Amino acid sequence: MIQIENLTKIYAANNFKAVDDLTLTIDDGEIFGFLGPNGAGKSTTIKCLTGILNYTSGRVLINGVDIKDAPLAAKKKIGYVPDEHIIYEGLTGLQYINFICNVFDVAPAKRKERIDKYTVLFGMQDKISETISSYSHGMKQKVSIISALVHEPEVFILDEPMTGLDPQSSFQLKTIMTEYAKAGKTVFFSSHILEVVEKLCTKVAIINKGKLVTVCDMTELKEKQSDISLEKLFLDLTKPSEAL
Amino acid sequence: MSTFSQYKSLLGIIIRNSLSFRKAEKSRQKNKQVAIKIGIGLAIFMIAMYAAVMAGILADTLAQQGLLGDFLYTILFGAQFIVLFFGAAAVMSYIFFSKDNALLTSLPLNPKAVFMAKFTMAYLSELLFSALILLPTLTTIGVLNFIRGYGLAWHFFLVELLAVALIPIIPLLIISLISMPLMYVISYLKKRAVGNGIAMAVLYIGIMMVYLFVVLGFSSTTGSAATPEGVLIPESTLNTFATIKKVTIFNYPLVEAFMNRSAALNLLIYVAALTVVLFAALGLVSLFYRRALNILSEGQGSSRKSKKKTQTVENNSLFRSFLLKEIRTLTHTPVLLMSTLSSIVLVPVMMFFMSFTMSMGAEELPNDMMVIASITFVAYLMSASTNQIAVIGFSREGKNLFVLKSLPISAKTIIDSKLLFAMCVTAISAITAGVMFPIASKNTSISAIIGLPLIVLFGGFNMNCTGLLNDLKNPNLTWNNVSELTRNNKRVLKPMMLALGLGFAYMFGGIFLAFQNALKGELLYFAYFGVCLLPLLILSFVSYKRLYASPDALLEKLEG
Repeated sequence: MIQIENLTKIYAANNFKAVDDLTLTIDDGEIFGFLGPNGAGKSTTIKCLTGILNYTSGRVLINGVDIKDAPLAAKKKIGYVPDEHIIYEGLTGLQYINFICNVFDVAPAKRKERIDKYTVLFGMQDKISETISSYSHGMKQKVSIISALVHEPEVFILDEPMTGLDPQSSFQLKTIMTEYAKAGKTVFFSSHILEVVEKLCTKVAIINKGKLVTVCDMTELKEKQSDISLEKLFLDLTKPSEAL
Repeated sequence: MSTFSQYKSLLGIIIRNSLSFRKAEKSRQKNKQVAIKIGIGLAIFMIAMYAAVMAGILADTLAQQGLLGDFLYTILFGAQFIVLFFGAAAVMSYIFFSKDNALLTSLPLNPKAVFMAKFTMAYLSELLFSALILLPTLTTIGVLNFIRGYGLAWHFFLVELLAVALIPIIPLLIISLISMPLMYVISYLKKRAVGNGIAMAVLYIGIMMVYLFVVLGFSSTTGSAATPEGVLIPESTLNTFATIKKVTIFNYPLVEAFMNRSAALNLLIYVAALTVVLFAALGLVSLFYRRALNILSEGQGSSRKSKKKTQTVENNSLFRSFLLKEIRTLTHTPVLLMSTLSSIVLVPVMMFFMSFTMSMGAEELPNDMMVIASITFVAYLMSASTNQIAVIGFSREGKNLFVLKSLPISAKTIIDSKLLFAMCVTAISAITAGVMFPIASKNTSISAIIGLPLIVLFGGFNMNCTGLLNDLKNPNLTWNNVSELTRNNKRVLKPMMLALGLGFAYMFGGIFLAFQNALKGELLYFAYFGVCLLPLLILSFVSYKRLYASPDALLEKLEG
């Protein structure tokens, strides 16, 4: 469960309010989509949730643990797929995943089993021992996803996870996200691909200019307002102000 | 996972990552490996020989006067100062401006473990400087001890090895701890990139102040003092020794160990004191480091400009646009800015240092030629081999170079902007050298005041052309932090080797002229600078022609 309470992030350098009094609760067993136009504050919010950025005010709880008060304990619960690629390009995919396993204390037996499982699932078994610098964009993304999954996190946070993935891997990731939710874990992800969000998510939040615009229950949207697509809703709610 | 296990795991990963890139680069240049190794060996040998000869001459004189202990303080201070100076870039690069910081802050890693792993990387990169200063100087003293009998014990060499390993710790800790509050201040600046640059400047100015007040002994008086043996040693030198001893009193146990006074106990005290300082620093790190990294991670999000500025349309020529891009890249890359600043600052600093060293005992010489030659040597060497703007001109583009390659522009335009930018820095160094020369050497020869800046200017031009060409032929586009490009890098070696060779020729040529009687006064200086300038003019012409021979074909060859 992720609880975001009155989260505000102001960049000290220019007083820019990137996230403005955001309150959200993502329950266990939910796949929560986080939408917004470019520069709306999605990545800033995710970086606050994962402890990369300090926030100005508010509170973020990861399964009840405050990320500010107990950062290490909170981060232990998170599997995070960033929007940027792995930095250690001189390592092989396997070396990098092993490093993440070390950080999260994954037992050797489980480590091997999970690495085998996910590398096969994402079609990386032949490439995992090669250096990351030789990987394509999509392959780097796969290693990033595998390393977020390998410690079986309670909370799975993904920033634009589908970028660069081939259709098979994209399908596998969606399956994993669904299985995670079914297992009672929390999945929170940002995306611009509205079709994926529409099909996959149980709830969707739309953010614009740092402010929460709406939170909609996808089941309700599908059942009660079948004539309104997520795309139309998104475009209506995030419509730029009238041209100059 | 304990903090120590996290440290071990992270350090292993960082080292493996760094080594992997070097291995890849080595395999790309297999046929050049032997030549490169010989080059590195020769460069190290020449520097070590120079340090050893200087140490030998001074140690013998000072040991006779009972000042060997003071000299050891000075050597240790010299090594610490060099680490302090060059280590600032390493600390900034590894600890604060590394690309992996965002990833590491998202993981459940103790900030102490992250800091220590990064600190260890900075330490390992600085070990070379410590070894380069301490090994030749201290080994020379140790060997002379057996010949002349200074009263030192056999374990002098063991203490020497320990000193090489321990000396970089204190200066690197000082920089790390000073940097943390600086990061706080920067986070509140509107133009953070400029703020980072200012932080670097503050660090360097601080270091330079220490240097000027301590080494140059500004408070010292002129004249000479007689030692108990009746030999005259300049009073300023004695004052400098005394000041260094006071400032670096923390080296007392190490010097005592060197001097064979309760060596084991003193070593134990030194190591214990370092451990205490290290743990105290770690205590501070746990308070500030995570916050510092969080602040630095804000870089991307805080780059929004004011509305007015966003709407400003810059309509520049292609060349001007590229030149502006170069300048902005420099001001937005703190480590590069710092490296550039140091290349400018190093010229006068080393000029003063050489003037100070060479003036000891130069009274018997018929003219200032030895001092002038030494100053010319360092001014040329420092300006030609430390300006790394051109040397990594293409590498620092990273994968952005392929975007440049896709644009409808010629390689000549890109090279023009990079060369002109590098030459701006060289020109500042040249002007600085011309202004500082009469102050450092106390000589107002017009030939020298004009000749020295010209040597720096054309020396820099030659190196910039050669550096750009080498980098265009084989750039490193997959780096993690700029420090990997600017340090321990073969790209830097080639021009440095040439500079070193020519620099030594300038110095020995000057020493030869100092002892001849055919030329005197202004004519002597005119002949010296004229002869020095000639090869540089030829080399500049050749390297310029080579650089512009087929740049488009070289750019075309680059593949991602």
